[in-house]
Amino acid sequence: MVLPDLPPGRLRISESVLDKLVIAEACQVPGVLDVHGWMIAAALGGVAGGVAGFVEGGPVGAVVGGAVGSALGGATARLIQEQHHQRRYFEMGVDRPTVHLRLTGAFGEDLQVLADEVRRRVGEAIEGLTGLAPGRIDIEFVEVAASPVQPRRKPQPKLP
Amino acid sequence: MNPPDPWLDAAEALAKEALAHPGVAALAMNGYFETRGRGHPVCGVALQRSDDRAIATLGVILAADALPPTGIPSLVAALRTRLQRRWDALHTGLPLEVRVHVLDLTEPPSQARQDDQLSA
Repeated sequence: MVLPDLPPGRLRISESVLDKLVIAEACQVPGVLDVHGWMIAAALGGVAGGVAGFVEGGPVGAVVGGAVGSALGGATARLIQEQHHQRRYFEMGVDRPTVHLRLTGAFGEDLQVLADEVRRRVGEAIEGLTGLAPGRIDIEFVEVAASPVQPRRKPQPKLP
Repeated sequence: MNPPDPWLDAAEALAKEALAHPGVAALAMNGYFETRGRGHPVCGVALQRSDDRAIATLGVILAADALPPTGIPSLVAALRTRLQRRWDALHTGLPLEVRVHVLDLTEPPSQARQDDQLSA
């Protein structure tokens, strides 16, 4: 018996997944020192959906390099878990997530340019990895701080 | 002893097939993604029957390091294909609609250990 072809069933992606992608990508943008808070909501048909309030994590620390998992510390991951007792989902082709990020920028950076870069990279990460088309991506700089200076290493004696 | 429940067996076959996919790190453990019948409930897949089709709703946690560059949709498409083949082999006579909920991404185990040590 030949069974009829059904259209592919729906795909829903949890807010937890978006959290990790957004923070990991934002932390990797040169000039972003910390992510202080973030909020992801659903924009349905251009109207902002329910807002749960900011996830206030305090500085999560800028970790440069690595993939999704490596940019998230254990403490941040636990914080995300605690925020997701009530999990929300975004449905492909229906929901457009809107993102609001609160950041610390590096002193001396052009914050407008930096915001554009964060917006671009976060948008590409969401769309490229989840297939969800992001709506607005708002950036708020809550602090500007000096970039941490890498500690200089003591010169090692040369081996013969 | 309960007689065998083919619907529960089908759900279990789908759950095992999903877990065998390299991109799936785990299945959901809560009641929303659960099939009940005569016997132990099957976690991770809620298999329901309507008039013209069966609907499997999966709750999956994906392995971040197994994500292809094309992202979650292509991984889910491959998972769907795999589940459809397994379903066809069960010869239920019903077409299957696969609904997927991606609950979370896991980081590679070595990275998780490293992060925990750093945050301790």
